[in-house]
Amino acid sequence: MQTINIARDYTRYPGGRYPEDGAGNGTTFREKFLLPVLKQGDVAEIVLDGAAGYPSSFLDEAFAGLVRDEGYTPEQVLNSFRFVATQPGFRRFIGLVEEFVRTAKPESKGGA
Amino acid sequence: MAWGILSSSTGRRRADGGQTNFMKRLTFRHQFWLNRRARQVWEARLRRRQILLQRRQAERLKQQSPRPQIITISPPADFSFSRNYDATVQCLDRLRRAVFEPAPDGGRSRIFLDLSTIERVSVAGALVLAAEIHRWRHHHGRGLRAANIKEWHPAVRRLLAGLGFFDLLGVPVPRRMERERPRDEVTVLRMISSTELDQELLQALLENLGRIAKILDQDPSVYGALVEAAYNAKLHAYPPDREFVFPPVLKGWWATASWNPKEGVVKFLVYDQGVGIPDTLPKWAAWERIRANLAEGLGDIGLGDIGSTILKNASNLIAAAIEMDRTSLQGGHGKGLQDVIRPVTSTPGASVRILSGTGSVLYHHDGSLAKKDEKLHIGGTLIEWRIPVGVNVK
Repeated sequence: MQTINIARDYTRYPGGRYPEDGAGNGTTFREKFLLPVLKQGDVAEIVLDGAAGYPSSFLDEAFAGLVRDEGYTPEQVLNSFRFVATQPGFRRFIGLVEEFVRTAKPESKGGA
Repeated sequence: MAWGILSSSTGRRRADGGQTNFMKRLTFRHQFWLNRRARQVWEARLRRRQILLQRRQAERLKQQSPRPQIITISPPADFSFSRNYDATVQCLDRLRRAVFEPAPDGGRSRIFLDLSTIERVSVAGALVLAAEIHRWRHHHGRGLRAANIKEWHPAVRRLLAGLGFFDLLGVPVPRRMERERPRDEVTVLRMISSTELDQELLQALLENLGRIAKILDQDPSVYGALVEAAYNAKLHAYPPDREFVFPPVLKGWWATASWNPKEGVVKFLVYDQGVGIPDTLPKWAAWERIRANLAEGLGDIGLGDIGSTILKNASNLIAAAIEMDRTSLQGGHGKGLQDVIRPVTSTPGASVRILSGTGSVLYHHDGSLAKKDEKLHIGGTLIEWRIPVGVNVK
């Protein structure tokens, strides 16, 4: 199982949805780190610790975007990723990701 | 040819005792020097004459053209949205009109913003005022100068200096002001602003505040709240199809933070000069649900005159947007506003105030809301978090 440490591998300052929103946007993270895991049918550990925090725009676009834009089911997404959050206040971000993914509805065909 | 310089004392004695005077023959070098000198004198006289003529001409023109009208703007003694909303917003409005509207006679006007009248200023008031000065500079370039800094109230001067106001005016901060700061006074961090979603800039603000108040260790949701507020300014506050009465700094947002050691409270503030949340809601995918929720709350009143007034109240619209189901699939306000209130819901004693358009909503830790509607538009959206430090986060 591979480990994706967001603060180490991507950015300490996530935020925004689209590439034009800056270096910490959700779309780029999804395409660069999350999609390959799903395409390979793999399971990855996502380490949330170390970042400044997680705005909803980033979490929604990165994770719920897999359902909305890439055509995966919420179960496929949630079963492919294990979340690690040990810093104070960080566990709530796991709950947000699960909520965003479960309520997302597909908008376009693609992916699995 | 020599130009008439005579030597008179070098005659020779003749044999008959008479004396013959004659001109000294000038060397070529001397002749050249004299020529050059004479030309220089002549040119200098010509230049002086031209300068005098130009001065006389300028004075004549000045006398003929009307003198620029001086518009003096005197802010209220208490420059604060929470304590003195109407007078504060009226002052900001006067400033905007003076800057962007032509003078009544169609000529030019000079503006004197007399800050010596302020005895007390809130951090929120100072941030919005600084953003106005920024807008002024953005559209008119330089041309601002500080006139009477020594007459400003010392506490007002210190707060504005901390915010970076003097840099906006291009004036150095007097060093003695730093030594003057009383220990229990509110510390204000330097204002940051951008037209992009600059997460690192926002984080730098938090880290600066973290050096004086341990807020970062307390709650990571503060970062998300600031980012979403700035992101909202970029995405929604300045609709491209809207014509603004006063040209804003498009997609611009301003932020600062303060620490009050006496109260043990930190404040974070984000301001934009956009149309305000209530004006942007009709474009939101969940607008019909907001309307339906509000109409449902009206019960028997229905959508008559009173009902439609309630629906138009800016504070109701802001509150409805906050209360909306946060599972909006389109993203946008639903999720952003949830982030905005999250630091408050997780910290006992915390609150967030959203002043947007003519509406004001104060959201408390326990989920209770206080709504207020004003007659005057604040000129954008101001979000102010008030978070006690050292309180355990849920």
